[in-house]
Amino acid sequence: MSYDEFESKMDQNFVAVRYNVEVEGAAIKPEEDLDVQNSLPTDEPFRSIALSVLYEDRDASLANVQKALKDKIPPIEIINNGLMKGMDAVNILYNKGFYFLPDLMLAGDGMMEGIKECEKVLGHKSETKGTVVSFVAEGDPHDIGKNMVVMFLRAGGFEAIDMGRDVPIKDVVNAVKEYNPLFMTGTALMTTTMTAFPKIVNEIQKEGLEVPAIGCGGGAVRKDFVESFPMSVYGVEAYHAPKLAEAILKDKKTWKDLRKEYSEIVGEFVSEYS
Amino acid sequence: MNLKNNVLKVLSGEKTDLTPVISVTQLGVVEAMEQTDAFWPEAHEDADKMATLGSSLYELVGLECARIPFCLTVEAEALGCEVDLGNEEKTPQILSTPFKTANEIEVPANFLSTGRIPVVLDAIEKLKQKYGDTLPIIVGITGPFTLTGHLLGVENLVRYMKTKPEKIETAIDNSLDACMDYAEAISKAGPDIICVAEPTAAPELIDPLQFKSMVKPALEDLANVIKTRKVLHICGSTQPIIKDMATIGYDAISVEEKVDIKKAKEELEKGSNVMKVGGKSMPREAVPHQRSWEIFQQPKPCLEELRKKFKMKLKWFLMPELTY
Repeated sequence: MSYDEFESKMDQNFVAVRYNVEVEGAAIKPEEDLDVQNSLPTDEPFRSIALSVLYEDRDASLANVQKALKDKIPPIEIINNGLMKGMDAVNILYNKGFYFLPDLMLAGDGMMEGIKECEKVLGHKSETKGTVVSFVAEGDPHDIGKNMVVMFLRAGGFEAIDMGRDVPIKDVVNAVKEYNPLFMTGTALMTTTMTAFPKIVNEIQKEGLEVPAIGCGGGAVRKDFVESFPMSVYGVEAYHAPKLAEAILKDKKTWKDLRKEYSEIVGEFVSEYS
Repeated sequence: MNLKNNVLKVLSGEKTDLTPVISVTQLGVVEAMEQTDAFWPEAHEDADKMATLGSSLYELVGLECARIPFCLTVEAEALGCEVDLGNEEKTPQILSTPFKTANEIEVPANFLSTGRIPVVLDAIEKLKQKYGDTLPIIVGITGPFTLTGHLLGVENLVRYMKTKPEKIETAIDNSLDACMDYAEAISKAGPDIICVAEPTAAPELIDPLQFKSMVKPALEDLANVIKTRKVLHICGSTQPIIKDMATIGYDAISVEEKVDIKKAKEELEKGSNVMKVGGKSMPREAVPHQRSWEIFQQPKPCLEELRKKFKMKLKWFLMPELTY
């Protein structure tokens, strides 16, 4: 009898599941994953800071950052070599299907806690590379995706203007006028609300304005839909947002370039773009 | 041909000559509102308009079912959440919740006579009177995990799944009480199909293992009190949990286009006690980026086209461009 057949026949209430080393392989800790090993810093205090993010431990992250600051480690180094490296490792495990959204959120909490502490010492925001505007499509109350995008953008050193959820089209257009952002992100969970994106692009063009690119993504949003109107690029993962913004900032990439070079820009294989 | 029997046959696993074309998710579209004069938000709280809009696509284009309500906020509102009913293009949203912790969630004694629950029950009655035994009547309800998300806030819920799973188990149990009361009341009113929507349990939001350990048991308990045919709908890339979805005890499961239907069917057919899968993917591939209304307005009578096209692949399909 195969396991599948067996599973459907047995009474799950009386089954204790235990880890089968022979079938599932030896249990490894998150930091023992090969790709994670390569991305984690090896020197202290950065390693323990990165590990506390990887272990989604907000308190440990705060304590480690405070200790490092006391030891006169420059806050910028703590952010870039410690906290961000930890988050990179989290993203690797998320991509591989070992970590899930709750892990991203909790690790993100730990990272942001550390960044706030560093900014206290700096006396200002770590560095603002440029302004990005993030919104959730009109009619859509689902904002977890947008919150993740904002978190990753802020962690990446961008000034992220958080417009909240269910943002009317005219407010988005006004934000373009007010902030002249280098990048914009729009998210929608529902197929009924994602139709706001082309309308927004239309309005922006009507006003004679321009945004280098609008990253559109979320639940029901698909690449072919996003590519059916101009000025947009389909965003696959929330943590790709700062990488796309970086490419626009440093290499003057346009939405057309982002569509063509997405995988290279985010630095990993992206099946949607293969 | 009797449309109702046709669907019920498919849900019992019998072969039918004609593939039913129905939607188990909400089917209020603006064009139909205009033609039937049953607009949102009034159709959310007026039984007559709810019944009219719920059957509008049958009347206008021949979709083979009536389906109410048009949102997933009925239960949360009856439990005390503040809801914005939106407008004709905007589905209702939850504005605030009275609950801060899992233990606070409680089903009030007058739950079934609160908020829009009586409206839904009334609309079922009206649809039954009008269509009797000819048209399948589908009623959508919120799954216990999604309801918990409404009551505690989805973001909190997702975090607590990792940090305080035992609290979330209590919360799901308490929400389940409400779901079961509501499902029993609806079963009594006697529609043909109840569709439990559990979008918050999608793998995009929670670990598939936690779906199995925490959400699945609650959905099982809920399935046991539903006396009509039952369908489970979960949005998103449900591939990792599709086997679990199929073994909960629902007559059918409904998934989104992100799931490879062919692969899913193969996987499910390996197991002995599994069933049919519906998906809303195929029509959109055929006519990309079009609202469901436009699809129905194609030059060739689209219902027949779709039926022919997808007969081999699907037993029934959900309309695209409609969530919930």
